[in-house]
Amino acid sequence: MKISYNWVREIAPVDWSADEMADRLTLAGTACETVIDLSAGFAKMVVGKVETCGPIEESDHLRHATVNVGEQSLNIICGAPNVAAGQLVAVALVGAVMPDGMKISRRKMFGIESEGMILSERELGLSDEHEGIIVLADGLEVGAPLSSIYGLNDYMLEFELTPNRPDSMSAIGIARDVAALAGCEMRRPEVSLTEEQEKTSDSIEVIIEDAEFCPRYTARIVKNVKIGPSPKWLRDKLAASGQTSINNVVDVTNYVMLEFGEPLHAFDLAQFASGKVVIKRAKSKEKFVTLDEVEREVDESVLMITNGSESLAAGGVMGGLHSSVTNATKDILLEAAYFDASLIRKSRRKLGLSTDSSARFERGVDPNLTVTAINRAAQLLVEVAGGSPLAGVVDNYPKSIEPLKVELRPARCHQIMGVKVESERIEEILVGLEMGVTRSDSGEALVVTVPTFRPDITREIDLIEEVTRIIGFDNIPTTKGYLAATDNRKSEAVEKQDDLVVTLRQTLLGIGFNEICGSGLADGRLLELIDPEKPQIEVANPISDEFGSMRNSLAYSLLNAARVNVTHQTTDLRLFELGNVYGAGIGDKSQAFPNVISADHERPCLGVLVTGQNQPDWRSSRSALDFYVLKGAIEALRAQGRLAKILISPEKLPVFQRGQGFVLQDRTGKEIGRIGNVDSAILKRFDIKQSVSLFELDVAALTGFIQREKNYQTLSKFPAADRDLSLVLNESTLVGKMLEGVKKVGGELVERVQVFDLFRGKQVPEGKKSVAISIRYRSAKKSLESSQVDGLQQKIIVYLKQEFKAEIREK
Amino acid sequence: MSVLSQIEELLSKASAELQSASSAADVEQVKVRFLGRKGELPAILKGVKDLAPEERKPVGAAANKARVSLEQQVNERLESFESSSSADFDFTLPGTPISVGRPHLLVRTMADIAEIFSSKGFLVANGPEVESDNYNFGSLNFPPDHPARDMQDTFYLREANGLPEGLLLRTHTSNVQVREFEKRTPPVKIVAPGKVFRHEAVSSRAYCVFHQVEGFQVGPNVTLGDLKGVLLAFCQEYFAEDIELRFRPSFFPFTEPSAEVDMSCLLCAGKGCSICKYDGWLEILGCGMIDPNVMKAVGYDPEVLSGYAFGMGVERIAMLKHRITDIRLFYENDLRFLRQF
Ligand SMILES: [Zn+2]
Repeated sequence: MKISYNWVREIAPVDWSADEMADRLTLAGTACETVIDLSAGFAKMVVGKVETCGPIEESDHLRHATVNVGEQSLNIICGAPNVAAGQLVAVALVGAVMPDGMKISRRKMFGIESEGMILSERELGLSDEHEGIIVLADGLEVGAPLSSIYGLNDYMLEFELTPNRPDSMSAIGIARDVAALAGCEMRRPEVSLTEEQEKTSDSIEVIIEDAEFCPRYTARIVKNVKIGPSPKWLRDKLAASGQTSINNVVDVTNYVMLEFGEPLHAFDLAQFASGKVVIKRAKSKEKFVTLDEVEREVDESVLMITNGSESLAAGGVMGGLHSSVTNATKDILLEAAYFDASLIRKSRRKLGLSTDSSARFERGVDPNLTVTAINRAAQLLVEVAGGSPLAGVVDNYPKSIEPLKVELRPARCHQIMGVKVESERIEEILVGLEMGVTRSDSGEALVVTVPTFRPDITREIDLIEEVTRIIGFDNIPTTKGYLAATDNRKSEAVEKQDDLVVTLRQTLLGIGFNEICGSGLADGRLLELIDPEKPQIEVANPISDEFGSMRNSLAYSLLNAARVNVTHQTTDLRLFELGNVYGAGIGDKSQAFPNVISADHERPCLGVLVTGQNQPDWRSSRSALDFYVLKGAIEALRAQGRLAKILISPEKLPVFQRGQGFVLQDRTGKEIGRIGNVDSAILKRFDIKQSVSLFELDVAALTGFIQREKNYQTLSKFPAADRDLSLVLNESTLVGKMLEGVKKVGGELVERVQVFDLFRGKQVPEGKKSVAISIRYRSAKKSLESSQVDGLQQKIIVYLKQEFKAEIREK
Repeated sequence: MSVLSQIEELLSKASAELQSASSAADVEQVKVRFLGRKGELPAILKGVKDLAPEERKPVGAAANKARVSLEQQVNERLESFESSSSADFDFTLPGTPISVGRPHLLVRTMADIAEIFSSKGFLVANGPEVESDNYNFGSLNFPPDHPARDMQDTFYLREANGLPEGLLLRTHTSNVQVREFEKRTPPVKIVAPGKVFRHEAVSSRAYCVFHQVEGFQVGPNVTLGDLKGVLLAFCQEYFAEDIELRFRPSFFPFTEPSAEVDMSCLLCAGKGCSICKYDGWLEILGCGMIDPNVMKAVGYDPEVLSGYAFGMGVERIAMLKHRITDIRLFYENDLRFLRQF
């Protein structure tokens, strides 16, 4: 909301500068965001008289004008259609700076040097009107500075008001805060009126069909007005409050709205030939043309002001085009109403229109202000449009809305603020805000009568807030009650999961994986490509398709991150994310493990992606960042997280290449994740032209598999014996299965088995692979004899020959 | 054999061994064997004191000459080995790359914030992102169809694919407030970091997803002064010791009185610069005293208890602290950005 600084000071006479006023109001919760100096900005701008104006041959729309600006005539090229000789216009001279920062300079076009600019309202920041130039009223002195017309000796205060403060949406409302802060008396405008004999009630009747949504409707008739421009004082005040002047009648309704906060509407009385104002719900699918010349469809959520048969205004939002005041209007019906706030909210949504009127009604105007406001408007119409008000108003107000009484205990105020405020000071503050204050019978509480312009104040705490904001937060001492001890135990399950997440993150960071953070919102089409079977949670009102769903796997975020990096030539990636995936019911606590900590429709997961190669080094060759790196990472996580064994089992999975996707299982065979090489069709959609491997693990499920603290195992004092073995195996032989077999046959004397070489090629027959393993033997009880080791080694060789058709290669 | 000839023999033996030594370690061994404290030359010299006085002098001189000669030979041999073994040792070659990952800046910032509050006895708690209207709005004193709801543009979720109706993406982590209150008996002190969603067009200043840390305390005598105290303590610990705060009364449905909090500009200390838009202040969080309606909704008696709540945007704080100018960088996950922190 914008309001004139001078206007506020007329009502609350303080000697604060505009900036000081803005700061003090802001620190009292009436946020004044900007202060615009209206006297500035018209430097090097003058009144000019257009002497000649003609077309330019080479241009289809530009015209060449000569403009007298007092001591000289200037050549100006102008694009506006309405320039004509004889007009008085606003001219920016060379060197002037426009509100948007543009500097006027000499410009040569079509062989003519343009020496200035003829201005439109928009160029001056006065309105959005840019169709034509401003044509000034006759009688102005040519060459006079423009600031004498537009330059107001005033400031525009622009407020960013919170929705709980309808009371401050007017000059009086702002002045009330100023007066309370400064401790001065308010000077409200005096409303007095000389009326005709004829009564308003003889000409018009007000029928409210829906009193729930229109609790009050006040009408008044002013006859014989002369429509015309407003006087300068009125235009200036409106301009300094961000309102464009339209005509004297409309300006008066806007003026009173800005002054009191009560939106008014002026109808052409001729539209009410029926003698009735009927307020009723619109019909379903009713068409209505609003003042802005747009036909809109309305329904029962919109309250219409009608003459019984025709809709003339959308109540509280905007008038209709056909009932508006025109130059031919003689008699006026003024409306001051009180509409239900939530109804106006619905209406303006339905209409897709937010107006100064709806903004006030939907926050809540004062129901007891209608008569004062309508009389004030009539008074001003007499003054600026020469109208004759009929006697009295027609005021349909079936159920009077009374001010609320709220008790405030100074002790409670102390308890909340942490500082004692004397009850006399509290009383002074509330009275300053125009509340009534008396003492309760016991004398312990203040009984506060809350005026109806403060619908936000219904409870003691609301009054404490008023006291706080007027005293100012700065005057409340800081204290250290925040150090008080509390019971902060987490449940065992939460503790376990939190610990696991930290361990997973720290381990992955330690082994070279970088953490990413996806937004959680995802493109549903890509999610479907990644896994067509998996249901998605869809956003009902997305900002775009790109953010239309919730991700149901971390693969989506990881692949997106991979795409971004690969695009920027960062092709070697180790990425991970610890975050939620979303799906209806996926957090169901009964479904999985006893210790799962997740919400109903989301689940914490770990996703890990690798692609490209290890960093090159001057003494070791590059190796791929692939599936096997992921297996190594899982093993590291398992060890660091004290997790029970994770098994890998082949299965056809949507996101992965056929035959290269696997389910990760816990010991019992339950699925806890998946791992594999990403399908090339999916990579193509993500613009990734290199192979990518990833795995996802369900963190919630893992939490159930943390092993209890382990017991110490004694260290063997005896030496180990290492034996290597070179094998030629069929391509189809799974090395992992073979290693398991070796351990089983070797028994407890086999301490570990490692694969240290694998190759195919010239020395190896077609369809075979050569695998070299190293076995370490050790006993906990004694030194092993070399004959005993050789015997075991032989047993293993026999086993490998029989079970895996292995050939032993001699060295 | 005379002592003098013993010395001579020892010298030639030692010289021969030094010449045949094949490494610096061999040389060191020879040195120890002949010159060490318990070596052969000192052993010979030990006998000198038994000699006749006139014999002592020539023996002493010969022994000394032998020691000097041997030491010189040892050093020459050691040098010869050193130069041959360090010739191919280039200490300027790059170290073997050992990859270490980096945490995401938002995760780190949230952890840093939570750590400060943890040190003051706050519990760190989490809550769901897919949330009901009640936990996100209703029980936080947002009446249905109230203009306050316009302050937080909301993503609503479609009732489809098994998802029940009436769910939305939380617009703040304040939902944790109600959820924790339901579980706990005061006094309580909790911080809740997490992801939140707002229906906002994406630009360099705004994203439809961001992170928040919500904090609150409820107890028998919790005051506005305590709220000011905890926020000042946090900002001074997290940003700088000399930070000042400014409280501007504001409106949030779930707190009353409410305020927006500005911090004196990190860069110009209040004088005005481009970071603070020449205001001297940076807006960093919102706060207030928990509204009695919120207390009542969870069965706390607002006559007996009071509490405060505050919420801060993690992206905003990270951007201020590291002078990041585009919020989208957090979600693009370009390693060139992520690995700077
Ligand atoms: Zn600054």
